[in-house]
Amino acid sequence: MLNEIVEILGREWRDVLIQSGIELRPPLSILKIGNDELTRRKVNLLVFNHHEQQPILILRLTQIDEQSSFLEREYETLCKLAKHESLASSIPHPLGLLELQGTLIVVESVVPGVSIFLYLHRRKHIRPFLVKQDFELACDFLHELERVTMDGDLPFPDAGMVQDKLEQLCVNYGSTGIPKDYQEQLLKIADEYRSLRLVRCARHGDYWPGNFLVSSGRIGVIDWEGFTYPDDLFHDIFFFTSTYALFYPWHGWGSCSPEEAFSLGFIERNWLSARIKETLERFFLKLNIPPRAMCLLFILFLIEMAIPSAIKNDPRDPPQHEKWFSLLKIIAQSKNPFLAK
Amino acid sequence: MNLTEGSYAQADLRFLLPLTAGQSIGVLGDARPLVSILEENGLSVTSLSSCLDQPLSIVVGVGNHADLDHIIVPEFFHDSLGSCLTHISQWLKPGGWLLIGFHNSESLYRPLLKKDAKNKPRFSLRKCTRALEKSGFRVVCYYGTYDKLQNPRVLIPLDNKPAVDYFFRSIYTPISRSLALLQPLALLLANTGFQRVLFRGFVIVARRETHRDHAE
Repeated sequence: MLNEIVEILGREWRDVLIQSGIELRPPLSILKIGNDELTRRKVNLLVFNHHEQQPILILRLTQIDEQSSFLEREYETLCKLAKHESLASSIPHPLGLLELQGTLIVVESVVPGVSIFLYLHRRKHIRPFLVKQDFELACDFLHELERVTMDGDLPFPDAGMVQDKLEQLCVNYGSTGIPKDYQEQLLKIADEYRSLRLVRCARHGDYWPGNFLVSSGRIGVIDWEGFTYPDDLFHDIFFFTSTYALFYPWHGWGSCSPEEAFSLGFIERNWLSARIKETLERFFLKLNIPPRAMCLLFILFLIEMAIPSAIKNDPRDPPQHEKWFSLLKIIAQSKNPFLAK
Repeated sequence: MNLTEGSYAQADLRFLLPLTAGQSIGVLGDARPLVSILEENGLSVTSLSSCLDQPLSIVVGVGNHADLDHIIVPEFFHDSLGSCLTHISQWLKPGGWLLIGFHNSESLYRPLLKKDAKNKPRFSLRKCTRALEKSGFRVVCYYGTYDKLQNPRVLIPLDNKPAVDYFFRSIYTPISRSLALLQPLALLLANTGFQRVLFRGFVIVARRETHRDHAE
């Protein structure tokens, strides 16, 4: 199939690509990337021009209907976002859709850079100034996404909504995993801040260090399949900081369980947990959300991650709900949950 | 010998072949996710061997019919490459496609392998391409597999040095400190034409020559 795709690109897409500033120089080579954990899989193909160091195109393909709808959503999303000049250089440029023998192929330009996840995995981004830089870049992009997609506001979650979420947890897991006094504290915070409003804007939906690329002076944000609009913004920043803590090499090349990594990032006192806290507080203060209200939003984020089908367009496969439920319990049952202070 | 079930990544090998619904395809070796996806896609799949332990005489005794459009051998597991390829070419139609994976005898990682992995038959890319050509195949392309031949999550075109370089700069995820330390060496080797030694396995896509190819 790869040879057929290459032929079609050279024959039928030449003009479309040239209009987007992309020139194919055959013979083209293709590098395939896929994940082994997934049963319903998408495959990414990077297309290289002859003797060029950077791939010129990325082809995202799937043969599964459910995954096709994710890819089509990503394509539509990118078409809309590419109109905003301030975002266009940081996201893949959507070039078209192609169907070949029951396979949907989304053709996009390649955003240069290496993912922050890879830098963490290679133990390269471990120093405080680099971590600070990563957080600042991630926050700046989200604020820009918020600015260009802002559309009114949403009410702050009230006590009724919080109670409803806790009941959904009970239905799924038999108990909330959250001590009674902590639940009461959450309801009290909801009541206290019921007059607050949240910005209604776009949500990336899978904003983790693996989808955030950095290169000299540039950033790139990829994988827009989980995009929802309109929604709230807090999910993305919480997901970014939580997954950053989960993938941070806390013990160098030694292993670290997700539970331990999460505790180190959100409960224990250390420079990185302090940086996470500072980043989140600063991010939310820009949106006029005080730290106590942010704490409630963080718990609601964890609950949302733990409840199956609570997240619209959730692109994570296989599902990770149980992992997030265990992380929620760690925060709620901790004697010193750092956000609650 | 324990049979490996085959990974989901192994099922991606199908993208390397020009498959069309209704075609016949033979699979040699155990590759269940691959086989089930091929069947879902409307291909008629014949298992040429579901057991790695069978002697060659049984494996090659499946038939002598040149009626298959494609053959996939995700992991070649016999010592006698030449005679196996001769039989495989007899099962394929003229112009039919073969995708075959080999453990790399030139791999840098050989000293790191566990004992049972060390005992697997290994071949060099050059030896394989020569044997394929001798058996009436034309090699179309070849890819290095990462991380393992049984689990080819990433397929890297070995004839494209910049692509190999890109892989080691932007995709490669070392699982240990020692492998991380190998990264600069990998980049050096990739850029000096020794990229074939950087992968534990490789897959080759080849086409059985037709009478017309011979005449030309």
